[in-house]
Amino acid sequence: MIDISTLNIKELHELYINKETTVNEVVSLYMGNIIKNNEKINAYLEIFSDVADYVKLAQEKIDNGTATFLTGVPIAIKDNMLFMGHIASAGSKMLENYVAPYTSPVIQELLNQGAIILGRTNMDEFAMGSSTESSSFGNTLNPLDITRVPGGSSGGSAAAVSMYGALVSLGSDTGGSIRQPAAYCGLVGLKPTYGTVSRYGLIAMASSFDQIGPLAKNIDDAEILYNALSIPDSMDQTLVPIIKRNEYKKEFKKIIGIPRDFIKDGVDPEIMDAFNKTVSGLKDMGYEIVDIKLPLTPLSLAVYYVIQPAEVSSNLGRFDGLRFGFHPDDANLNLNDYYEKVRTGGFGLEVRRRCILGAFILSHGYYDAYYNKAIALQKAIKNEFINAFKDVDIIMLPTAPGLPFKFGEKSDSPLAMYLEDLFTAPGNIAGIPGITVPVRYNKDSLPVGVQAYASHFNEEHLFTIGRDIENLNNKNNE
Amino acid sequence: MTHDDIVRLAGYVKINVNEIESKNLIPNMESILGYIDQIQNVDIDIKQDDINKDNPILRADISNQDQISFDFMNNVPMKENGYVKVPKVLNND
Repeated sequence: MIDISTLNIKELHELYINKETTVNEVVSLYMGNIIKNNEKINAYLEIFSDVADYVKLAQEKIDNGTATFLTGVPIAIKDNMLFMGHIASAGSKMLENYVAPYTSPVIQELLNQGAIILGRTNMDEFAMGSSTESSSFGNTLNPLDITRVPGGSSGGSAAAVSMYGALVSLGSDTGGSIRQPAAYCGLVGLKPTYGTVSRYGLIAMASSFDQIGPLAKNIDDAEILYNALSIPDSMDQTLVPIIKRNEYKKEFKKIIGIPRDFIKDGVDPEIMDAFNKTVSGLKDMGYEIVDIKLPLTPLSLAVYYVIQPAEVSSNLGRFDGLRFGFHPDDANLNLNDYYEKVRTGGFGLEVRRRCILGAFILSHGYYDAYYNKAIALQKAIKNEFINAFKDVDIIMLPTAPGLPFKFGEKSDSPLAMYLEDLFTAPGNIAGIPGITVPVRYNKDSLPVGVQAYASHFNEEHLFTIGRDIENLNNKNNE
Repeated sequence: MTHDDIVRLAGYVKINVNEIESKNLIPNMESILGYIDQIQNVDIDIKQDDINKDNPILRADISNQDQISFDFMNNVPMKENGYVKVPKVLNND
């Protein structure tokens, strides 16, 4: 009998090739959990009707000896990734009935390898939020404590893995949307370097920051999925060619930098305690720990909340109700009234707020003061990280400043919700890879994650330290 | 920020905002702007160099009539003879 609470991708692969189980058997186990839990948790918005077809194809790959690690692996995908013939709604009424006309290269690669895409998961509307509460399709509950949010915006993808409704999942991270929900649901979550994973077929939020990445129960699974995702694609011009990425590879000297000034205030004491214990455990394992100064980095969130709404208001300009999406049934409206009906009726409150904020930031008289200043600071923060990584291999921060919070706790204050991204936004601003690793549960059984950053294109360093943190966890649990 | 400011900005992005909504929006917008205003206090040269900026590699911008173009039309709510139908720009009156 397979125990899916501890199952990982390599073990599953062994079971498949040794004929100890079948893809149908494994997918049925996950489907059973989905049937049992999804009505309450609402991790999935839809289970795809063609799963059985892909189960058959995967089994054929195993039987004819062409299986890869991902063959027969049950995967959940965030509702903003295009899979031809399937709805991709981005958690929005605007795209409630939008059927993808093509398949994104990331999804295509998973299909090529025989992965089983079970369904699409709930998310904050157009990925704008940190709790999945802004979805047009109801809240997703945190499987570890159903009175609390699963984080966001990839809350459904995190909850799907956490409730054992998928072995791994895909999320997208613009300011922390993979790492924060992964931390809230006790998972590993990776935001790769900007320019490693194709964004073609990902419904855009803020194009300068959006990046697809894996959520998983352990580092090994996240690494396998990352390796599959980080392939060349001519349709996304921000992708950096593999040969160029290799020029950035650094030797790993086990030196961790901690920007103490950045984390001295505003972090939950239990998170700070877990963070300090992890750092001290890593020191005992042979890591060198050094204090570093990143004076501009604390401004990352403010910079992010200038550039991101500016890009949102431009990117979401495409939703006109003429080519796709929500539209009024009134043939007598003129074009302007039609647009306003579409966008006022199709977008939820948070999306409308960010479009309006973006319009303000980009308006005459404020453009220089906000947008140009933020762009200059973005470059300066990126350079600050590049310089810091000349002396250290890893920079560690908490993943989120607080523990998973109760539903409605931050709904009245968008700023309180935005502050969830305080330690994750710097990674998007600098374009560097960041990973969250669960380290322990607090007294109320709420998960705590720590975050590690590496320099551009050095994801391997994150997997190395991630495994060491996992070993530390195992040692502490003995 | 006033109701008129909100209505004007919302107009730029083709969104309608009524007075009740703007009453809620104003304090939210002000607190967000108050937060992002901290970037104004930093003295920094607007012309920053990227230490390691990679130039994008562009593919050829070639139009084609592939299957995607036809599948794309399936999502169009109003169409005529293979074209997207657009509401009239001006009112009759």
